[in-house]
Amino acid sequence: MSPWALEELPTIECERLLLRGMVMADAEALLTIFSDSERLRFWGHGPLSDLTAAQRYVQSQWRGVHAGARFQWGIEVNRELVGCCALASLDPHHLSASLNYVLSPLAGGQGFAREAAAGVLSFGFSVMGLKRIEADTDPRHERSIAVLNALGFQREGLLRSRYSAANERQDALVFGLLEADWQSA
Amino acid sequence: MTLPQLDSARVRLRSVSEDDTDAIFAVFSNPAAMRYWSHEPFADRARASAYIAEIHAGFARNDLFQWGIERVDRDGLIGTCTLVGIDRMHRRCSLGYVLHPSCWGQGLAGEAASLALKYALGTLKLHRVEADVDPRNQASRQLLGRLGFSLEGLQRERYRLHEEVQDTEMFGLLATDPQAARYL
Repeated sequence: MSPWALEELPTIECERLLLRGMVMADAEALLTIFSDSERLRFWGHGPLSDLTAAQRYVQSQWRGVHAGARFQWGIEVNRELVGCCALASLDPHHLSASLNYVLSPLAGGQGFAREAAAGVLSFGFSVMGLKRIEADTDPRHERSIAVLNALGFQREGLLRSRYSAANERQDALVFGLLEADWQSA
Repeated sequence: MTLPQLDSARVRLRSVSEDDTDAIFAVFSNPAAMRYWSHEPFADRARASAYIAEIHAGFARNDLFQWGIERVDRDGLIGTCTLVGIDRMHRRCSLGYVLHPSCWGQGLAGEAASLALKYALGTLKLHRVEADVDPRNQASRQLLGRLGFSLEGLQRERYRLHEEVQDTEMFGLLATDPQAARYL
């Protein structure tokens, strides 16, 4: 049993964004966020096929929260869901997790990913007591790399040909951020 | 279905059964063998028994192949060799191995790992095998080099184990690497 098992995710308020637990009414917006296979090349799964799949996806996020295994917040701007940001692979023994984020095509280029990730990192380190948060991205995904650099992540390696997606083999550029680095930044 | 038995000149990989509990306990309670392993040494035989059940459960889930390592000329397990995190979508897994210290220094771990790599790349047709190792574990790092792995990175302060915080080096071997040809 994970010490982080929760009934529901706490809401995190950022400057322009609200991070909150997923609700069933998000299913429609999730279809848009998880629609574009080109963008999802770098996310862990492909597009959601229909509303039923999106509803099942919301339920799977609830199970992750109840099990203390995966915390995925919806990113809300002006009451509209524009993306998701998650702490996945929560590991209470090693006090580590991995960070994921995805934005709807219309919400890019405004620093939302960075702002949401900063809110989630702060929660992970300060509230949960994590010591290390890692992230990986495709080496061609320059915007995501820029976000990780801006947040203080250090590049730790390049794992060759780690994923099969979009009919190709993809490398994974892996990053790590330590709690001590985060607090001193 | 059970794990296939794999043989080389000096070692055999075979499935682990309850009859191996004492041998598994001898390896997994040994502080030197466990120094860089992913959990603390077992405190009692019951833990070894539970571990064997976990090995069987992982095989039933189809994401863990953990063989017992035996010398071909002698009964009794001397360690285990593992393909873990078998991911068929991304066609990869991680490699692990552990030997009782009384069997170190004879190239037996390398022989066992080669059998597992042949199985992973040749039989399962995986594209990538990865391994992580503590940078202080010279014997294991050198073995990965001999097996054809490339060093791909260093994760800082990745594990909290054995009352310390450990870095881990990440190694990878691809089916398309020239040095993987021996496994195909």
